[in-house]
Amino acid sequence: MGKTKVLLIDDEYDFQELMSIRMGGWGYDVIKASDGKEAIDLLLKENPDIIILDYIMPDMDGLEVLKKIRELNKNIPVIMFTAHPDTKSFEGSDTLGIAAFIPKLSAYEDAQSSLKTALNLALKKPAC
Amino acid sequence: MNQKDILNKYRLLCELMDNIPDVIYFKDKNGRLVYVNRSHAKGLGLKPEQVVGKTDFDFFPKERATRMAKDDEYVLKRGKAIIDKIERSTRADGVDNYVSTTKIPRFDKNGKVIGLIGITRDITRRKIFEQIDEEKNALLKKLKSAQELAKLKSEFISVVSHELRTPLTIVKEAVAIIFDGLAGPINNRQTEFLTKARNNVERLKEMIEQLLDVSRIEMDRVKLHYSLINLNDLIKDSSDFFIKQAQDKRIKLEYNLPARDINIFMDAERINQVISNLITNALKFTEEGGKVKVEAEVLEDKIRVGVIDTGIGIAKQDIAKLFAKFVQVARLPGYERKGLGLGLSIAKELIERHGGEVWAESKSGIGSRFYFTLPRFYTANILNKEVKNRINSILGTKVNVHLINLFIINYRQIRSTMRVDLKKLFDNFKDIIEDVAQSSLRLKEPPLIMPDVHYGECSIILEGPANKNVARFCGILKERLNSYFVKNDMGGTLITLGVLSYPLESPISIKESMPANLYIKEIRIGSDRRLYKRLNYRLVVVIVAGKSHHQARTLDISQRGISFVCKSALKTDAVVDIRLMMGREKVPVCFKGRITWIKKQEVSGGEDAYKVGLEFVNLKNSESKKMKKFVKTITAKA
Repeated sequence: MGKTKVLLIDDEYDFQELMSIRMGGWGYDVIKASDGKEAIDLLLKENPDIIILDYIMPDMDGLEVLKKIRELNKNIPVIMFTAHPDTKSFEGSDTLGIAAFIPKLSAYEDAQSSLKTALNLALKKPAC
Repeated sequence: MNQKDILNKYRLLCELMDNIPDVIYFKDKNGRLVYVNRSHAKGLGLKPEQVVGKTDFDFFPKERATRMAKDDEYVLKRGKAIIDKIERSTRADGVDNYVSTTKIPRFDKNGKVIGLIGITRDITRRKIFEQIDEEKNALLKKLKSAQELAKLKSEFISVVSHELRTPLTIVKEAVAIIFDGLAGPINNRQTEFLTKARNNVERLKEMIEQLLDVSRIEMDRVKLHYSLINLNDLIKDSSDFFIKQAQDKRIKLEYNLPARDINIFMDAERINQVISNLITNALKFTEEGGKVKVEAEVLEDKIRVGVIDTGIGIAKQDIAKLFAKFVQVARLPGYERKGLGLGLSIAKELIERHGGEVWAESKSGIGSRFYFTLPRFYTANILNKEVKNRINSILGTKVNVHLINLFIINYRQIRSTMRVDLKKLFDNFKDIIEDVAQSSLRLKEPPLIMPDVHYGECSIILEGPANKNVARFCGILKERLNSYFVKNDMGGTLITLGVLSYPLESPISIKESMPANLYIKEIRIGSDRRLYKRLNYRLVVVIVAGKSHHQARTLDISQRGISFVCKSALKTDAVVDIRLMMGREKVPVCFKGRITWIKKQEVSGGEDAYKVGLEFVNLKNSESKKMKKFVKTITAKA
C-alpha cells in the first residue's frame, strides 16, 4: 500500500515547506497548493486522501475553496488548519463536512499533536 | 369705539405694563424716556416717575449708555427694528446677567419716526442652560472621540496580533523541526539554545493570545461556549502539567477537591484558562520550598475555586489594582517585570461574564489567595451521564440553547397529602410542557425534559428559540401548570399555588450584549420560597470579626446565609458573628457565619465597598427555627 497523500493548502510558502517536512516525518506524502485554483487542480490530478486547508487565504478564502472541493468530491476528509482563533466555526461549516478545526497557534494545546490526532481520526488509521 | 371700550382696553394695557417682568419703555427722538413700566424703574431701584424725562446716560455707566444710544440711533434714523439683541449687563443690585433687547421704531401718521419702544428681558437662566448644553455637547463629543479611539485601539490590537500570529507560527514550527531532529542531528549546545528560542516563542505566543483576548473582550466579541462540565475533571486535566512544573521549582502543589462530582455549566476552555493563569502566577511568585494549594468548594448556590500560595505576596495598596489592565504590581527584588500584566484582567472579565466573582487576598511575605466563583444551577447535580452527553451535544450545535428550571416549592407538602401518583403527575407535566413548546415555539426538536420526581423539580432544554419567545413560553407554561394544580385540587389540600414567587429572571447577571450559547431561566411555582433560595431583603447587620465591628446592609437573606454590602474587605473563610435585627425583636439575634465570597464594588471615587457572601455555621436547632420563621415572615411581606 502506498503512502497516504495529504493535500496541504496554505498561502504561506514557508509554512507549507515546514509542514511538509513535519508531516513527511509522520510518514505522509504531502502535496502543496498555495491557492484555491492550484488546490482544485491538484485535487483532480493527484487524488489525495485528505486535505488540510488554511481558513484564510488572499484570493479565495478557505470556505470558498471548501465549497469548490465539495462540488468535486463529497467524501474527502478536510481539516481546517487556521491561525485565526475566532474561526472555530462559521456559517455553513456544519454542512460542509469538516473533520476538525485545528488552530495553528493555541495557548492551550499543542498544534502538532492536535493535527496528528485529527489526521489519524479522519483517516481512521495511522499514517502508514 | 365707545368710552367704555376704550377704558377697558386701557386697563388691559396697564395691567400688562405693570405686571410683566420684562422691562418696557418708550423713548422720544432724543432718546429721552417718555414712559417706563414698573419693572424698568424697579430694575433701576427707582420709581417710574423718577425715570421719565431722563436718558440712559442718567442711569448707566457711560460706556453702556453710549452703546444703547447707538442702537437707539440706528432704530430712529433708519426706522428699522432691532430684535433679540443679546448683551451682558449688570443689574441694579450688582449681579451680572444676560439680557435680550428688542427696539421697535414708532411712527407718526405720516410715517415719520417719532421715537421707539423697547423691551428688555433677563435671559440669564436661559443662557445658563445654553451654556450647560454647550458644555454637555462638548463633553459628549470628547466622549465619542474617546470611544472611537478606544475602538480603534482594540481593532488595532486585534489586527496586529492576528498579523503577528502568522510569522510566529512559522518561527515556532521551524524551531520545532530543528529541535525534533527532522533537519538533521543537533548537538547538546544547539539543543540548549533551541530550548531558549522555543521558550521565548511560547512567551511571545502567550502575549499575543492575551492581547487578542483583551481586544476581543473590549469589542464584546467573546462568546462563551457553555457546556456541562465536571469541575473536578477540568481541574485535574492540567494537574499533571502543573505538578511537574511545581516539582521543577521544588514547590509542593496540592489539590483539594470535593469528594463528589459537581457538574456545572461553563465555557470549559475559558475557565481552564483562568485556573491555569492563577496556578501559573502562584508558582511564579512562590519560592523554593513553598506551597501552592488548589481547592474547590461547593457553596450554597455557587462553586468556589481558590489558588492559595505561600509566595512573596502583594502589598496591600496593590491588591485593588491587581485586576486592572496592563498592571503589574511592584514585585520584590529579583522578580522583574515579565509579561503584559493582562492575565488577571482577562480572568476577571471571563469570570464575571460567567456570572461569578473574582477576588484576591494577600499579605506581603506570607502569601496570596486568589478566588473565583461560578454560579451553580441545580440541574447539574442530578444529571446522569447519558443526559449530560445529550446536553453537551446540543450545546455543541450552533443554536442558542435555553435551560429552564422549574421548581415546585411546596412539593414536600404536596407529596405527603396528594393522592395523585407522582409519576403520573410528572407525566402530566411533561405533556403540558411539550404542548406549550409545540404551540408557542415551533421548535425543530422537541424540548428535552428532565424531571426530578423526588424533589419536584424539572429542567427543560430548548434548542434554538429566540429569547423573547422563551419569555412567552415561560409565561404560558406557568399559567398552564397553575390551572393544572387548581383543577386537580391535590387531595383536598389546595395549597396556594399558582403564585409565581419570583419574576422570571436570568440567574446569571450578564450583559445583554454578551453573547453566549446558553441562557438560563428559573420558574418557581408555589407560595412558599424554596428553602435555600435567597430573597432580596434590606436589613442592617453588624459583622463582628475578631475585635472589629463592621456595619453592613444585607442584599439578600436565606435560611442558610446572607449577602451584604460592607465597607471593609473581610477575609475569605473567616468565621464571624452576625448581629441581625429580626422583625419586631428588640435585641439583635446573633449567628455565626463564614465568609464565602467577596466582590469589590466598582465605585468611581469615594470609599471602597464590597459585596460579601456569608453562610451560617453551626446553627443551633432553635436558631435554625428562628431563621426559618424570619425568612417566612419576610417572604409573606415581599
